[in-house]
Amino acid sequence: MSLAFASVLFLAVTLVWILLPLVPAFHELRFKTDAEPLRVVRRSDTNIRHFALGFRGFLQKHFATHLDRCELTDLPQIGELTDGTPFCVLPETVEEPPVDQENPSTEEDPHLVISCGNLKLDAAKTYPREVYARGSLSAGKGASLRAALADQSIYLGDGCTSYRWLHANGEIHVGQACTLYGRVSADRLIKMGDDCRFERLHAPRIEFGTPAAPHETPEEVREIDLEKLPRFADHSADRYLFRRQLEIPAGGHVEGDIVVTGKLKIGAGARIDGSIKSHDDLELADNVRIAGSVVSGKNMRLGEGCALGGPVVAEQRAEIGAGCTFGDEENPTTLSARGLKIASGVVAYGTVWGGDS
Amino acid sequence: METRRQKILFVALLVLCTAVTLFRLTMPETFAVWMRVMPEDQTVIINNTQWKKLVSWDFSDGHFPDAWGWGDFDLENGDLVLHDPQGDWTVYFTPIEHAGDFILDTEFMIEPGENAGPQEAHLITRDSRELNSECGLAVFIGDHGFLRNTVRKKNYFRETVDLGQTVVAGQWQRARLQYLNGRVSAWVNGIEVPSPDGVYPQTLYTEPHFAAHNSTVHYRNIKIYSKMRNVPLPGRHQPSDLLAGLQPWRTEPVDLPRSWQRRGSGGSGGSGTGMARGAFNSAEVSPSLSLWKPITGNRPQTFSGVEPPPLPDRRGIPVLILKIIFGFIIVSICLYIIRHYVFTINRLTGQQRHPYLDLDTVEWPGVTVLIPAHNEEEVIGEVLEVLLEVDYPADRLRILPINDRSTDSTKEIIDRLCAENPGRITPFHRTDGEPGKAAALRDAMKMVDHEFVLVFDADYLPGTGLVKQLMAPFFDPEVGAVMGRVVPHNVGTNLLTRMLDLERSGGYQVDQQARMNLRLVPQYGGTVGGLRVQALDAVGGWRTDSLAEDTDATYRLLLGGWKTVYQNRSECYEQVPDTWSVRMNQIFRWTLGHNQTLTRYFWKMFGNKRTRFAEKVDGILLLGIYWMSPIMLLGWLVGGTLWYLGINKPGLIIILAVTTYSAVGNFAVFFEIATAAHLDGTRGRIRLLPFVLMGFMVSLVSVTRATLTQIFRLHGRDGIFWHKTKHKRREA
Repeated sequence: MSLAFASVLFLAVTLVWILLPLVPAFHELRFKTDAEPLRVVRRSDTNIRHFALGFRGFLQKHFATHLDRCELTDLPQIGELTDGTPFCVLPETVEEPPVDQENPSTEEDPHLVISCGNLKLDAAKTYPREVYARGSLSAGKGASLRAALADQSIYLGDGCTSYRWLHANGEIHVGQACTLYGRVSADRLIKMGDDCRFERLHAPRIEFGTPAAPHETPEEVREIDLEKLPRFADHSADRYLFRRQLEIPAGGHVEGDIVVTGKLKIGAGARIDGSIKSHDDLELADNVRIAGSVVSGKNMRLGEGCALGGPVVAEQRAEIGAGCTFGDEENPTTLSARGLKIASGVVAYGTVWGGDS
Repeated sequence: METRRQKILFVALLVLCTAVTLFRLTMPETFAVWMRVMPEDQTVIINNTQWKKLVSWDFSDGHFPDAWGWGDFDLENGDLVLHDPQGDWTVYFTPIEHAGDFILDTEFMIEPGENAGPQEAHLITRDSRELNSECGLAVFIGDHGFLRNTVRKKNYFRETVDLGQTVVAGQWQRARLQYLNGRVSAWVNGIEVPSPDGVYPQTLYTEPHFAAHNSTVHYRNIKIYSKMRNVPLPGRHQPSDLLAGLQPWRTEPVDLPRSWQRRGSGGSGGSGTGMARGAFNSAEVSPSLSLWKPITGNRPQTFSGVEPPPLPDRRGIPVLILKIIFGFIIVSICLYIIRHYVFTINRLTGQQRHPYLDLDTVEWPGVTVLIPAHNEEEVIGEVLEVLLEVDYPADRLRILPINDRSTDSTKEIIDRLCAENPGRITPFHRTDGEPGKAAALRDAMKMVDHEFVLVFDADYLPGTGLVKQLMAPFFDPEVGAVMGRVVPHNVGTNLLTRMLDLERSGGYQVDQQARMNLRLVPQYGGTVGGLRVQALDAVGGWRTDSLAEDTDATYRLLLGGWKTVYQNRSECYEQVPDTWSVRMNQIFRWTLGHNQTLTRYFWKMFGNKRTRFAEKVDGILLLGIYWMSPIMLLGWLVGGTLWYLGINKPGLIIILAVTTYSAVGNFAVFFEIATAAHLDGTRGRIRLLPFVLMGFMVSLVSVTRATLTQIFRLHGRDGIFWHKTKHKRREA
């Protein structure tokens, strides 16, 4: 092989090597296989009732006639939708789905269950398709539901599991040691039993365990001059900035927002008429009152009887002491953390998010 | 006029660069050395090849040449003496750093000694100072020597060969080493040394040098030729043919110099064996070169067993400065490469921060939405209608379109919608005052009585949930500004829009979100975002003398201890430029604005106590990104200059090439954009990645032009006016 030929060959191979990536590039440019604008969420999907509303629309589309004829029959209507989904529509007089006669011991009911009145689901049975009750819905101990919608209330026995969502136009009462994946919402009240796990709850009032007696607000608080505290860095726009860490003494009163680039501790009975933020861990002692929002870049620990008026955000875990309240009936709010541990007696008005709670 | 002058300047620069490059490419391999040291033109033809004499030393003037090496070497009685009697290390001496193909002629003499091992003189070439490979001739006292060939460091190939003659200690010998077309040949006293494998790695860098090992070796009459060109000659000629025609070797016994006796050397030399002076072709010998500078000190230190540090380059302060600049450029580029990688890997593997996304049940505060508009009749109605339907308490949302001296029907459209929606829209028709978006916003702020403002350009279409999403972070008392994600709507228009789609994707999906994850400095972009009014007022409000009021606000908030939050899932469509001229103007503006902000706040960032160290670093890197284009061009220029000056270290060029390629090529930026497309689930468009290089080149020119314009103050206050892209009505 001559030097000239080798050089030409080298150049040719190099050129091909360079141009090779341009082949798919020009193909894409010419045929535009992926030239649509990125799909932007035009409508908010944070509405917790999103799936429930979608399911209600589904019922209206496929089962309007069945539901209209509820009073005309006392027998369950069993059938299949065009996509093969088996369903079972129960009249008002029948509260329990029929048992599969061919296999009475089965632990799974494959039907989409629709009830014209109240509905009772068997204990320890799995319902892999959605369940709807025009009245109230109660699930026996250990039942597993994909999703459930009730026009009145939902009652889950101990050890129940829901996998996608639950919505009740009335109340939701959850037994002990239940696991609720996805969204759970009620238009009046959610009452959680002890040792339950959940991801997202929303209701005008959410009770964890038995509500504790309201803690007494300390009568006397003393004004704190934040600018005289150590590591004070700045006061502007009604915000006090502290470096590294800050501790508000017990019974102190502060007006304004507080931001700390490290840890923040607030003593028992202190009152903050503003919002607080810590880059590091945030710790509130018992009976702290905060009118605004509470944000922690890491973990948050709330003592007993704290009352927080604004939204609460912990970027890592949050431990909520007994008797704490979040928001009130007039001003619902959101409690959000990557992981939440909530003691019995806590009441939240609005939404509670916990990734692993 | 300015534009014309700039064009002429750039064209002239381009022509100059091209001319210099062509000139360099047409020069012989040894151009750099030739230019530096050879005023006279002495050439000789040897075996079809014309050689130019580069070095001719007889040391008769007592001057030490401007060369380098290590170990103990000096001039004694007109000889170059390399002294390594104990074999501690090979002492070597390098006359020139780069010769390409070369011939090295010299006379050498090994002093008699009593050393146990072979006493050696070497004529060697190698490809780098790092000894990655070297090849040459080693001659022992006696009748044998060897050709050495090291193709990799510490992997010597040594094959002893019979020299066909006896090399006597204390006698002058004559030797030639030739490197030509990747082959090494050697002759001792006119007799070619057999070469089992003289193949030497082809390299840009060859370095003929002399050495001594386990002995003291004298060299004199050193001549180095470099290849000029091939000369066609009839018949087949071997190098040995030419050497055979030289005068026969003559020896003349002389007394040993006193220095030998001082060293106590014995053996045959001690018995008074005379020296032999060979007779080179006298026509080839020239006077010592006057351009070689004598050494006035700073001699290399003697060492034993430990490799000495690199010798200082003695080519002057300018080269040193260039090297420092070059090093700075390399480090800067590497910093940005690391930054790209850190951001991208964070997005792929790190914990993603969306702390405020879940805040949907709260008492929403009052907010005013500002929509600056200057001749936006095509789009203003649409954005107002969309805003009227957003999911936000109507009693807490005020829509405030700012009609800044529009001459089209913008005013009429706003007034009509205002009348149709009483109490919802508060129009602000601006008819005079300072020009520019910042001035319009500043004036509009007088009408704002809410704690927060959101800003949307007139061609943006917010979704129904967007206002809530952008307002949620303001519950954090530290947040001064919020930025949403901008998504191109006219993606499929042409190549430019498709490339901008990729760039935006990388910029927001990876860059901004990674900065959010790492708690660095997400940037408020002037639209699809919002500000806390109190915080903005605390840091001085809208600055009307700023070329990029959004970036300026971001940094003032940062210096004031306020954070900017990026909400990656708060997306909003925009119309990206679809012509290159518009795009170049856009980059031009952004560059001016960023650079202005950099000069304003660079030093303030260092001493600021309200920002963390990581924020300072990221903030400076974010602003400095528009400096990277001219820096990269400067790197190419400095690299080329060093090359022309003879600093032919391929390592430097390769470093710049690799880092530049990494910065613009498939490693860093490509990785980032591909990751963004992957995260967006739009994998098909990744195929367009090679075109990003083209976009980079356009940015390189635009950014450099803007930076130079700014440096030479060609851009004055007249640059602050309404910079806007002509917006078209979207398709239904």
